Amino acid sequence: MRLLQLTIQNVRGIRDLTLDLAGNNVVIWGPNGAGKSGVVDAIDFLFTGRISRLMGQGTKELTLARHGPHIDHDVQSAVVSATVQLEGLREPVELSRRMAEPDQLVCPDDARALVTDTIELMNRGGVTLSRRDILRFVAAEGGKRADDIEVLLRLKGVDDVRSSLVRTRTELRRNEKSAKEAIEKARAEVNVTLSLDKYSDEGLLVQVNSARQALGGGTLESNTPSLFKEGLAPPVAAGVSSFSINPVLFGQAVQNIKQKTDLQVVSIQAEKERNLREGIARLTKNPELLAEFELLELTEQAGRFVDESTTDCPVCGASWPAGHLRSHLEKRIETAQEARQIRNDVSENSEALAGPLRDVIANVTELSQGLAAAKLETVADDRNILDRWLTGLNALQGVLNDPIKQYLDSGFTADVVAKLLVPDNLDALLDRIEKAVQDAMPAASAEQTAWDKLTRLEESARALANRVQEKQTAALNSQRAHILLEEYERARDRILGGLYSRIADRFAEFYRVLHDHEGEHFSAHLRPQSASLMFEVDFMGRGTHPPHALHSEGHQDSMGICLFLALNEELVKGTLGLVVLDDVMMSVDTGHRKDVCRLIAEHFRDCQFVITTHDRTWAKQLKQEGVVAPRQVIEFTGWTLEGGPNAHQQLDLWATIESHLEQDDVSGAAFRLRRGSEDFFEDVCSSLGAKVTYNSGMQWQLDDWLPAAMEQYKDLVKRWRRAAESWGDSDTVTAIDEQESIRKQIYARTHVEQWSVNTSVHYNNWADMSKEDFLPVVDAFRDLQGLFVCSNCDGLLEKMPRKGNLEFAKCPCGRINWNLRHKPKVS
Amino acid sequence: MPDEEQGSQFLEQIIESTFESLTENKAFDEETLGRLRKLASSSSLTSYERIVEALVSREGS
Repeated sequence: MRLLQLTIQNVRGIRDLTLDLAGNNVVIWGPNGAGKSGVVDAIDFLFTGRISRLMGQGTKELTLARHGPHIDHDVQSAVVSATVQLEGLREPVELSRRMAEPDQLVCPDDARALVTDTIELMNRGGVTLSRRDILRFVAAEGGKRADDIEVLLRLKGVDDVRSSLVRTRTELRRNEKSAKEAIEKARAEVNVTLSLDKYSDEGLLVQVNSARQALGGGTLESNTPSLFKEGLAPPVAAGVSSFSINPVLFGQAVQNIKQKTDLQVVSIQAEKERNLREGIARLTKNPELLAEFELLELTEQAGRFVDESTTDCPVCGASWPAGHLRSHLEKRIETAQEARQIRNDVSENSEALAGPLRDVIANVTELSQGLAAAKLETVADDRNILDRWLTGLNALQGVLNDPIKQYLDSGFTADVVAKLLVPDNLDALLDRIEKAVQDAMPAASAEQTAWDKLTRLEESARALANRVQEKQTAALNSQRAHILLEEYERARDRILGGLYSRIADRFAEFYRVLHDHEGEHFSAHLRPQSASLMFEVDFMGRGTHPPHALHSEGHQDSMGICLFLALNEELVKGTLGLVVLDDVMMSVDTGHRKDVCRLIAEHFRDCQFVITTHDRTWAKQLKQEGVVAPRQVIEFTGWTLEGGPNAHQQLDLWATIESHLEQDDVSGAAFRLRRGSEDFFEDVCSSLGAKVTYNSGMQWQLDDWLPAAMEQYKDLVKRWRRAAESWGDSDTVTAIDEQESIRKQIYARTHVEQWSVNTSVHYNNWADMSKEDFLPVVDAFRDLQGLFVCSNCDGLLEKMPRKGNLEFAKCPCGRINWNLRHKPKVS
Repeated sequence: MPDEEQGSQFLEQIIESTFESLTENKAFDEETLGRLRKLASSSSLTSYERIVEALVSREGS
């Protein structure tokens, strides 16, 4: 996209301004407060509907509606419009946005999609670079830099997807843990019938085969629930449901409970409970320990990225003196390991408590369901007591699933837990219930008991098999979530690593253009470290350091520009781009600014640069180095509240003179010719390195610039001719002679020798001329300037290198290319 | 994924590369991979609920 024309009305210090950019690079220069940044804000507003300068840190009190319009003007009158040339459309299109409706970009329908990329890029800060931005790229802490560059490169989505994959893994790990817990519960339910100290597959098979034997069945080799009753017929009068009461099995469940609530067993549990309570208290009452426990995995992970030389925290990006981060993390890991030990103890004690609890719950559930099925009114109250106990046991079991977070705040004090483990008068309660069942239910034969046992085992073992199957599935899902995350992270590291490496290499290449004295060894590293983005640059071949560690502010500024341009290049990927540099050269010295010009001219031909500066020298350099055409140098002066800035866009010199002459204003035309020629030959002196006589007033005029430029030109031509002779290149010698002959004629036509003696005389001579007398002078000066300008690229003739032995005099595009090197002599 | 993140070329490359690896190491069956690809193409990989659903679903597998 190219900006052809920009019109700003009542926006940020600008009253009414139209800039003719013609799709070219432009420099807007003027003193502080001249309104230059208003242009940057207007471009920002046109494309995004907001003004970045009014947003961010320290701008809480600023609003677009109040501070966007020019002072004393309301939002209704604040409008920015532009004519732009879009790639893909033949005709330019008009865009505009009113501050009264900042969300509405007025744009032809067929162009809307084409401006989307620019708008999107601008929204992310990929178009405008200010001094503030340089600081955020170069001197920021790794974490902040990562955030900013992430936004610029639109990488937030990458992190969002990762977060969701991490959450997926956490969720599926939790499912796996629940599935494991469900298996334990199912085993406890099987064990109600088995009455073993601890469930085992072998124990189940033994008892299944024992029951089958009692019923005349054969021995099974495996615990397959569907085979438990295979080949067996139910005993006579059998057929009771699994929840009806078999007095033998019921009595067995009663005995199971008595065993599990035996004083000796309970005293062990009580001890485990005390240990559990103490362990949790150590963690929760020590905030540091608890924090380390919470961050244990993260700290350990960070530790893997950190060595003695690491200065940026890989987790938060904070900067540390070398070595300090390592020792800090080591201390934290030590604390975290203590926390881990406590956590392991908590888990062990919790399970020691929860295991027997599961068994008790399973058996009490058996009794409760049996009594419900048998509808024994005589023990209805006892059944209620049993159910209340069961409710308490289940609640305790629940908090033991997440003891660190829940146990101490759950209301389960040591006394409450002790009462739950062995309620008062439990044995008497169990005896009453057991007796009531024995009295009410007919005695069961051995065959009936075996059949009922197989029925229950078949049901509970099938449930167990299902839980095992579910756990396997949960484990597989969890593993897949882990693999998915790992593969994603691997791909992310590879692709973003490549991206950052490309940017770092390009950055270094740009930086070498600006600072060639740092040599070809200058290199840069840009690499992610967890949440941080580490940026280090070589310093004089003495290793890599953060850019603000050893380099000067000027170097940091040029690094910011180079990094921004490298990022911008990656973002626009060769498509036409708009780049706005808002007064970013403050700390860069004159010599390096010239190199920035070279960088822009050589590497960013396809971009349109809008550059603001308060520095006249930089503005002139941009013109001299061919980055901006003379017409695109716009000077802002004399800002007033009522009128905003006065913008002087340098029109084509010859068109301006012609315009004066059309109005018979010879005096005005002469003034323009003189001032225009002064500017021109000052630029020529700079590009040719001409020697201008020094004066302490630091003011030079045309009769200082022009003779110096001509002398240097003639000297270069002589060198060129001598070099051509040394190579035996007679064609070039002839061409030079012809060119010299023309040059002498042009020079004579300007009467330089006469007027250069006395400026005032000369000026008056011109002013007193008639239009007819003056026109040949204009033509002569136009031809004279033409000697120094390439007709192809409009660039000035320049000597190269700037310092040291001369080798060439050439224009930026290379069409003018004078070889100044002599043929080496053969000794 | 939020609209503003759609079309991030680097994210697309990362997702594509992830699927290439998953296909190569055969850690996932075709159906699961298909479900995940569908999520990726509809920019839904930022919804962990939908990823969980795609991973745990056993339809046809």
